[in-house]
Amino acid sequence: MFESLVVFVRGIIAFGTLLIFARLLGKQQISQLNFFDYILGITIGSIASSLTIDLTSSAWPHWIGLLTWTIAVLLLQIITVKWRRASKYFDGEPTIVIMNGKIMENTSKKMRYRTDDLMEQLRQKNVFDITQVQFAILEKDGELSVIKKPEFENVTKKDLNIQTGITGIATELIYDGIIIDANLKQTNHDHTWLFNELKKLNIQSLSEVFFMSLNPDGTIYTDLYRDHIENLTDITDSLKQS
Amino acid sequence: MKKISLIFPILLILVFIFVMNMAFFIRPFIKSVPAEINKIESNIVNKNWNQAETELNDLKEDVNNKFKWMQFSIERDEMDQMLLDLTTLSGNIKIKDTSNAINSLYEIKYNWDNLGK
Repeated sequence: MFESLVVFVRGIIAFGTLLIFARLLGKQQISQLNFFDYILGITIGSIASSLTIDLTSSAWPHWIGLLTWTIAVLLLQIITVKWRRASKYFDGEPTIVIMNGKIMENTSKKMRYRTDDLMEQLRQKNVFDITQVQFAILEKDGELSVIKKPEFENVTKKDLNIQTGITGIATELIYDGIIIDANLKQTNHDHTWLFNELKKLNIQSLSEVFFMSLNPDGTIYTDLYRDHIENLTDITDSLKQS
Repeated sequence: MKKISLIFPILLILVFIFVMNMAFFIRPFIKSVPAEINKIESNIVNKNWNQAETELNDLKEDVNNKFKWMQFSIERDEMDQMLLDLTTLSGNIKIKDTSNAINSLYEIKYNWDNLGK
């Protein structure tokens, strides 16, 4: 038995399977990582690791274990998306920990959530004075959402009646010297327009461009391979030789 | 493009399943190993020890070749046990011990039939 070769092949199988299964499970796993999801991730990873290096048993049972856990998670996801009650039961619910400026001690105690944790999470939200808080909600994933009292809320441009520009998402036109035709078409432009724009920017060839995007207000952002920066700022801790 | 992104992972999973069960899939098509075992058995029963030894060497080579393909789908212990049985059989043939040789041969037969199950 060529152990290294077997481990290599089984490693490829585990890697490929995990990649496909993770895609199948979607983004929910990462975006709403609660304690149970965390354990699920570890378990699935652990099975994949056994599949790779545990040569005392064949790969198939491990793979079936991986499939079973993935199907279980997938089923749980489908159930929780379809039935709100099931979602509340499995995932829990957000809990109000500060209501109208008052800490909800009993609710916090029930969740074994300490006031220290609350203060820490408030600080992470840039709230250093609890009297500023109107509502604080502990989300399912342990994050704290905070609503400040109106008098402590930040002033917005709307409050000051300031006109704002157009906002939206920039569209990539060139990446790594290659034109992204689909995006160019989407923005109702063609190659002639693009090359004209490049000419205006004094760019002779596409190969000079690392990145180019069209912003929602019609302006163009361009980054060239040669940035022509004379004095680079060094933020590393490397000691200068005297 | 959408079709490819759907078909590719399915194909990949099918390839993985085949590799992980290769022993199970290809064993029924391997006729040489059971045939060699039967030949060795008849040679041992008829006390043709020299012929049995030659057949055993062929069997060892054949099994080692097959293991190159089957190693991804079977347990290391299963392979080790089979190779150990082949070595034991080799010793039994050398000292011309009929009963122990037949015992080892039947163990080999059993191990082969249950490989990758």
